[in-house]
Amino acid sequence: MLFVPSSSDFLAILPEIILTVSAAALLLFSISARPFKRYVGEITLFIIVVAGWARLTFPLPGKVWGGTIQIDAVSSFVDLYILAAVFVCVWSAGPFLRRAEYEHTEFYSLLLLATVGAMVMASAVDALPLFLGLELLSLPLYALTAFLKRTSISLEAGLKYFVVGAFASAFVVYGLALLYGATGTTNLVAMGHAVRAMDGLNPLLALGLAGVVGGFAFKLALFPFHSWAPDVWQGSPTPVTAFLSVVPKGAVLIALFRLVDGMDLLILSSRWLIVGSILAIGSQFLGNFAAIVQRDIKRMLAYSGIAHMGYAMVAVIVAGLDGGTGVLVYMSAYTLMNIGAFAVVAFFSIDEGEAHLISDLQAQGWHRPIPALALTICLFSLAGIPPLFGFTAKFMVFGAAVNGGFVWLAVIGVVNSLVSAFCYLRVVYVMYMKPESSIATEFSPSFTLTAAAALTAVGVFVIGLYPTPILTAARVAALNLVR
Amino acid sequence: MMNADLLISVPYTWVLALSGVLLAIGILGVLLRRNAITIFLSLEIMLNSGTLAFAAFAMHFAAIPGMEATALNGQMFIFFIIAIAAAEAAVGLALFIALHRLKGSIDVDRANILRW
Repeated sequence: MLFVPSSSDFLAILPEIILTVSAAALLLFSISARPFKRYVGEITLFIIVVAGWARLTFPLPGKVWGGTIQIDAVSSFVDLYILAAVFVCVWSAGPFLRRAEYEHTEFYSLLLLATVGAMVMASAVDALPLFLGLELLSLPLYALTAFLKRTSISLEAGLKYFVVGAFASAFVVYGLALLYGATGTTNLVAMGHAVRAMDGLNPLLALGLAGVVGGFAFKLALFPFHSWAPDVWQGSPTPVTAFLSVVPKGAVLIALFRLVDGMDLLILSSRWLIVGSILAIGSQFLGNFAAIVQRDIKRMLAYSGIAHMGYAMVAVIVAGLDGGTGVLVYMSAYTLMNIGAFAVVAFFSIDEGEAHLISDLQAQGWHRPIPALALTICLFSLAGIPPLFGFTAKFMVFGAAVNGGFVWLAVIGVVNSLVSAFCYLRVVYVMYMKPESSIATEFSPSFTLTAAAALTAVGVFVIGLYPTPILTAARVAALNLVR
Repeated sequence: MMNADLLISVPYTWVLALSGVLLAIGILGVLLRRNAITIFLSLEIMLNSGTLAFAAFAMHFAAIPGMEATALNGQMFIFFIIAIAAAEAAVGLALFIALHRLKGSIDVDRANILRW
């Protein structure tokens, strides 16, 4: 049967097409038209808005491209929070790159390509686009991590990310090959049907799943596979850290959820519960306790990111409609508050080659009140303090766990949230509780970074007070996400 | 001249076993070697073991009547993996060149600023 793409196939992936073509066009124009280079950040922002508009405007036809990609409410939900995150990244990257004297168009171009990868991955229902999306997401990020190529810390982070990322990708490929061999299809939906028809796991299927889940756990920096994350997060340029702390996680977690839910792993094998809860609980404990002793704020946020992926894993274990809603809400909350925190970190940084010490933030609550307040709101939200968005998201996930009969997972999660409050509040303490007269590091003001941070902080606050629209949208999307 | 019958008579499990051996070689190379180029070659071996595993299963499905389309799906996957491996080579080698320029060596142990 020959597949001929129709116009609706192209229309369905219009945002991806817009971003890909613009990424290529940006590179081309940056060579030919010199004056254009000054506005490349603004142009990129415009492109992102257009892509978001295209996703919202055009119909969501469901399965397209011969049933390999599914454009539905999940795609629009995930794409919009990914695009929102990239928007803030690009917005805060301008002043940052100017300060570091690394203003190159490649930065924006690579960022857009990685975004396309994440969007493809979140919509993929076949192993092939899943893998291609994963690689399109990862390859530009290796280059972006090492973007400050004359700074050894950035280069080292890029090298580590490349080796670990390629290692994980190889496991994903091998695992997908074994799944293909075990089920006789590359389509994830058909794979799920085939697996549910079997009674229990055969060795081939178990090895394949181990490869794919292990590779994804590497990309998500879950507990036994986390050791690369703090180094890479600390070493990358701050806007890139902001990007790689949220966008890959959002996409990979959706793909993992599709796989786990489609195969109904909870029913299929009792071992999945053990493996999944080790990933979830291990990440929570390790992330929260290691975050307490960190002196660098980017490293502290890296460990907190590991812990947050642990909370999100709880929703993946629960699966079903509740779990799907939990994953979507949690990822949108995590994206918003983490990107806000990193915009402030970009504000409070002088030299990218140096550590971003928490002690440097001393008394900034009085010297730079708006960024400090934005950081406080984002950190409170990460700690899960009501009425912020982070609390709503944690409530959804732990509520889903209790309804699904995993009370112990919810209890461990709540205990961990309490522990995590300590490391976030320590930063707030340093910013506010030292006397106003004490010596503060002088950070050069930046209107753009202040505005970006303030906007996300207001978003975290407003959605926390009035979460109904997001919750409804996530519920509708989750109906498409589960089998 | 190659004997076509001989090629077909190789059971697919042998090819699969070879891919498993290559994967193991790749993993050991990444974990044990310290030279960046050797690590990079080991990563490529790992990716290509995945290719070989797809080829083995495609061979298996091609022999089953009615599953020819499934076999083609697997073979198509191989081409995409090869293309991805090439793109990965470009990024990886660029990183190693930058490392060599900065440090004058491609020993990965030299990249050790980031600790606890």
